[in-house]
Amino acid sequence: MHLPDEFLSSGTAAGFAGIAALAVGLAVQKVRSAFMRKIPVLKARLATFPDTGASRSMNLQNRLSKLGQEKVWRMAAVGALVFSAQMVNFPIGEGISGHLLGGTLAALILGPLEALLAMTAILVVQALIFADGGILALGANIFNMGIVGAIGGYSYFRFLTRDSRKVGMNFWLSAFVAAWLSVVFAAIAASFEIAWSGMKPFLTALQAMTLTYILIGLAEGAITVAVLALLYRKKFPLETLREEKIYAKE
Amino acid sequence: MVLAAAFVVGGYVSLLASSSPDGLERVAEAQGFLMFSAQPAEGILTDYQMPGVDDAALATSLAGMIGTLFVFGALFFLGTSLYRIRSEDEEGIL
Repeated sequence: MHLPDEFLSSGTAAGFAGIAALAVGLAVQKVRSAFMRKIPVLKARLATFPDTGASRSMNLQNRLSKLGQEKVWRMAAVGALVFSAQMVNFPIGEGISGHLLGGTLAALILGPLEALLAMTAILVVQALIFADGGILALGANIFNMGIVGAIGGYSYFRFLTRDSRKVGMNFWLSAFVAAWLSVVFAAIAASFEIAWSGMKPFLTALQAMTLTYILIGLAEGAITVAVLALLYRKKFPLETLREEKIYAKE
Repeated sequence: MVLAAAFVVGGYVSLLASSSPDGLERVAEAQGFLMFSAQPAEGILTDYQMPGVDDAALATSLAGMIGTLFVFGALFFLGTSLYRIRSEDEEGIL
């Protein structure tokens, strides 16, 4: 699923790089405020004789909250897990294999924006160190696997469960379908990018990509549900099950 | 625990990976535009193989664990540096 540079025209690559940069920038900002906690700090000022109160004015300082520290650990660990899981290609037919994309999985564990950051880190490491996915095509790959994969998958899940936090049959089924959909939509996005780059007519690319990734998506759904079930049994805090809003409005 | 699992998957389970081209590569091959990426891409650990290690399994395993470490490190650094930037701002005001 990692597009190499050669599959994309420079215009397409640049356009998606812009979209990805914007989205990742926004995600960084939102996630940062979710990690922080404002604590009042006494301002150190000289006291004035007719006490104006200036010496005791409070100042709000941002500190990484306890929850934030845990979230940093969790985000890094889940990112590492998704990276290594992406290495494991499973055969889906004669001479053809697929691997986990993990966007939906990461989003259901971490929350959609943390997942976007995790996917971005994974894709950057893959492009820079492993030459898996082009460096110029990074934006398109972040779009496909981070935005369409993670944020998309999270939205389908929320829609399918009707925002319920109950863990039951519907929960697991929705996770499966959301993961499957996210892969199919990522493949459709990749077909658009290939077609816009003038590589193939859109419908040809779309047909081949969708047919392939409908199959790979089934495995994605199965792995997503399996990993979620394991983490749920081990009482790993899943962001999807939290009642409160993840991102505080600033 | 999750991090440990990541290392196990990257270092060991990755050895069981199929070497067939993945979905996108296969589509590109079948439709005749894979040749556009004919020249092997230059990377430090291209194709998830540690250079200079003869044993293919060991090379994959090492590459997997290094990659896992890099992703973890990058995200951890990102997470903690988000905090640092903000607190320095605040100290400047004080």
